[in-house]
Amino acid sequence: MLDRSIRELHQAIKNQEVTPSQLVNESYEKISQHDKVLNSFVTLNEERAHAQAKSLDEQPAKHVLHGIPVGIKDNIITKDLRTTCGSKMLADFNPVYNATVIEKLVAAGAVPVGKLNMDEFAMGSSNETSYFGVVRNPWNTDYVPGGSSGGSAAAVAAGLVPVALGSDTGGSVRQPAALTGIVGMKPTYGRISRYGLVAFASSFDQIGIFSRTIEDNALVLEAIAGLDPMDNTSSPLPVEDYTAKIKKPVSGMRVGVPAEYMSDIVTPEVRAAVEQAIEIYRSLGVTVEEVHMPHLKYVVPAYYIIAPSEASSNLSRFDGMRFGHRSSEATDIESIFRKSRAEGFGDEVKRRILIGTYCLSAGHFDSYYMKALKLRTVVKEDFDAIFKEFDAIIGPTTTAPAFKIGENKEKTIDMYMNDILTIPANLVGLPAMSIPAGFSSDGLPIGLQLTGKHFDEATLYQLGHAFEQVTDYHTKRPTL
Amino acid sequence: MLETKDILKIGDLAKIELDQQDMEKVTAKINEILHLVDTIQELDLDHVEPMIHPNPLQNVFRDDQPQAAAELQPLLANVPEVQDEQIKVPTVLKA
Amino acid sequence: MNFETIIGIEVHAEIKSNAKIYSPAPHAYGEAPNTMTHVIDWGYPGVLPTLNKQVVEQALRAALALNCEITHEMSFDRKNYFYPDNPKGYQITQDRTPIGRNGYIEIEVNGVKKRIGVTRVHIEEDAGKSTHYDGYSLVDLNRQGAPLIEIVSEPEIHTAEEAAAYIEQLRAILLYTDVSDVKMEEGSMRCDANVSIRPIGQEAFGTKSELKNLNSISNIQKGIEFEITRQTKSLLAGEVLRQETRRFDEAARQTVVMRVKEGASDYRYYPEADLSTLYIDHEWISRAKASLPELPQQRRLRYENAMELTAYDAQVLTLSKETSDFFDATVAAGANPKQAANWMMGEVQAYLNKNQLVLAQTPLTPQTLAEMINLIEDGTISSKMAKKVFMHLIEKGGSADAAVDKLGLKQISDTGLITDIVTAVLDANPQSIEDFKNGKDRAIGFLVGQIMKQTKGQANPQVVNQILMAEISKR
Repeated sequence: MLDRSIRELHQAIKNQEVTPSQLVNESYEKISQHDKVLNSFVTLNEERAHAQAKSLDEQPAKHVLHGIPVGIKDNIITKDLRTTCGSKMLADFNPVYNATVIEKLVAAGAVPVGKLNMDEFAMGSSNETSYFGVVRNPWNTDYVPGGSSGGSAAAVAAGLVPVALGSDTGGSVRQPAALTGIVGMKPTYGRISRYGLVAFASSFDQIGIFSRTIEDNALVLEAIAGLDPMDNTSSPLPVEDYTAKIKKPVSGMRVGVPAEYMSDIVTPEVRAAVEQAIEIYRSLGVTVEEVHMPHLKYVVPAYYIIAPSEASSNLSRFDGMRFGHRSSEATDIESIFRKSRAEGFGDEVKRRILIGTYCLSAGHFDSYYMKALKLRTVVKEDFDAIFKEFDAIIGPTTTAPAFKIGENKEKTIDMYMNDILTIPANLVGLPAMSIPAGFSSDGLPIGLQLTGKHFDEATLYQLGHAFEQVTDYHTKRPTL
Repeated sequence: MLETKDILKIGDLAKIELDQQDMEKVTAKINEILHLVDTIQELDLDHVEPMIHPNPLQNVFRDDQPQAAAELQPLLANVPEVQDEQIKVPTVLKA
Repeated sequence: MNFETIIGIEVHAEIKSNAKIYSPAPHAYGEAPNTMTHVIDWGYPGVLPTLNKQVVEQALRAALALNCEITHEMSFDRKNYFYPDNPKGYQITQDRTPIGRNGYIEIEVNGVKKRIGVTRVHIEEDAGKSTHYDGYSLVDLNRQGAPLIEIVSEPEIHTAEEAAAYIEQLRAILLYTDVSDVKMEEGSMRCDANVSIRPIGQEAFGTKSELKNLNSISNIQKGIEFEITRQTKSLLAGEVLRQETRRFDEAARQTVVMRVKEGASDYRYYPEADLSTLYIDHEWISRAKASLPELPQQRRLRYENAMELTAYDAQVLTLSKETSDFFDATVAAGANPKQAANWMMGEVQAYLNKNQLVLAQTPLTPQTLAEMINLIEDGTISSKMAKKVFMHLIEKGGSADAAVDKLGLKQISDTGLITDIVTAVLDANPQSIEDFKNGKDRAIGFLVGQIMKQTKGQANPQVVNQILMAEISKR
């Protein structure tokens, strides 16, 4: 059943062919079959999910998400359900409130089945920094699923859940979606409330959605987007009826392809897949032209200044005082702080906190943090120039398909540079989405990235849906 | 290039105890990253305004209406050490 | 060598509000520990701040009342430091864009008026409260997120008296505008003073000490005085001063070192992306200006010019808004301003001080005080009787007329009645008349005493004197 689209499942529930409980049971069955290998879930919500499904069985399916099992990245706060952020720091942490997105999902009738593995505090692109172990790519379990939302991507790609939430600070939804052959949407900054998303880099973070199809993705966004009085930066703009718009023809649209995205920073296979996608769009009547992102070279440096800086502050609350790990070695305040944080955080997190602390410190703030904020303005101007003439930008999501687990573990700079294509959207807060666009010769998925104007998720869905209609990549399933 | 003593100073600010034995490796890694981010120094951005908010909004307020306070017991349940419904910590040096 | 003192003062005042600044938890004082918190105040993972509009309104009013230029476009900043009662590991404050800049407060010391510059006024949040015990501390987060304004003066204060006057005036302004209840003893107003001295003529500042947690105006004055003496002695003895944080030990009447500063703290201030931009346009500023009441300085001028009070009286009366409002109402009820001022600063203040009360806790009203003052003016009661009437009014209440009746204190000014009594007394004391005529003035005193005795002290002394002299001269 769970292989069907959300609309089909909704129809089936309405026709009483299936109940929410049966869907939830199926999800847990699949998890127990496959997740020992994949390791996509950190915590299951079985008891509550069954109870919730049972009560949904009795109610009319008013909302399209009624009875739909969903997976939740483990940096989205769930009341009374352990939320770890993939860290030893929060290995026993039971939140006392729900993130706004959880409230909205549950109100719609969606059933959170569990919490999904991730790079520790969302810092990583391979899911190898999780305290709870690596997640394996369903397409080839020797390979990483990408990160930081590796658990979310693997679970959806493997069909354990039809949809899952992730978070995207520098590509953490789009990159794993690309590496696992599914749809991953990072909406505009401010489109989905961040209240209850454990902050990594406050001015980049955005909750995103994993699904197998564009329409499923749009249905979830419609349910969770919108103004939240608890998030001062959430947008008051009305949420569009995305699913109504996706079926509109794309002919006449204008799309830009940055030459810099197609340079030798990407592998020939990835470039070939994008070139093929360009031809498909042209065949659909879309005008595709080359454009330029002149400052692409600087986006990774700017990101690795701003994100660690903000993280160094956001992660200060993990001090062993009110929640989280407190060192048993510590005897005084200073050592509680220092030892709890040394023991609770993994190497990558510590490294980024140190970098960020340095970039914000006296004498360095202007030449690092402030300067990087200025680069954001420059990149925004680059995008503005393109969007004056084009409806969207397309290009590769990643520079290469998935790599082997352990292969890049010590290659920190290479790993950072891999985010070069996803970071620009975060710097400027633009919506961007990865869709399945082919496979490498090794049978690993390749993603096509679409970037849109602020709050123009509709155009991305429309373009994505049109592509989906004439390709079959989204119908391919890994053999488990 | 930062030296080990610089990294230790940053560790003091960030309140992270650093293992003396790892210092060489940590220092090398951080210098590698700083080398990467230093690329930005090539640019002259003196006359560019910084972007603090990717979604510029103005004057978003909450009304001065208090809500009921949070239930205390679940909050205390996460606190490593509690006394008299307060967070217990070793003596704080008086600031 | 002669030194001059340089003092800069930082004041934190809690802004009056129903809810906290960045969380919707109630803003309340004196409740059981941790019962006035929201998960936001605990710095829980995933929480975000929201901004209480009332706090911005109040801070804007304070900045305007302190004659500041208003910053139109503002963002907030994070000040990063670790402390058990600082749950997020940062305080959300305004570093780069304070709401107000370049203001001033007018003070008067020993009859000399002076303007003290206000460098900046900004909005921030209070921290939780740590209570220290033997070997451990307990943290209560009720105060976490209480809204504060910080007011920083220019280093333009040169004496302890000026410092006290500056804080008194600042306190009065925050009270008049209703921005804060400025209770130093409850910590809703906290003062730190940076004190340094330098040889007269030297341009560079001397090494300063920071006096922390001065909890009363008198301690501010004493602490600063002690510091000036201590630093002067040190320098004269050829010592080098260290930059220190010190506190005033009230019992020992001296300042003691809390810590020696080694280099500046690195708070890694940076813009707070979780709160959107604050924009205060001219219209908002006009509205806030219009909402300001008459401020102490304006009131002092009105008292001096329109009511012809002395500068000193005007200053004393306006320090407390309650006193000043009461005074204004008393004058409005028909009392002579000078008399009303004397009563307010004299008997009224003495009674309140003695009984540890504020005006609102007594039954005295501006109307009854005005009535009483008018009864003195028209001779119905003597000043001496008035003190009894006043005690009745402030303790029991009621109208002045009723008090006079009840106490049986009505002054006898009826010349016919007094003439009768004078005649009788003179008839009974021929020797005294004789003595007076032989130049013994004391005899008059005796006669007046006899007359007062017969009238139980209620005869109008002026009338008695007049009639007595007239009657004696007839004999």
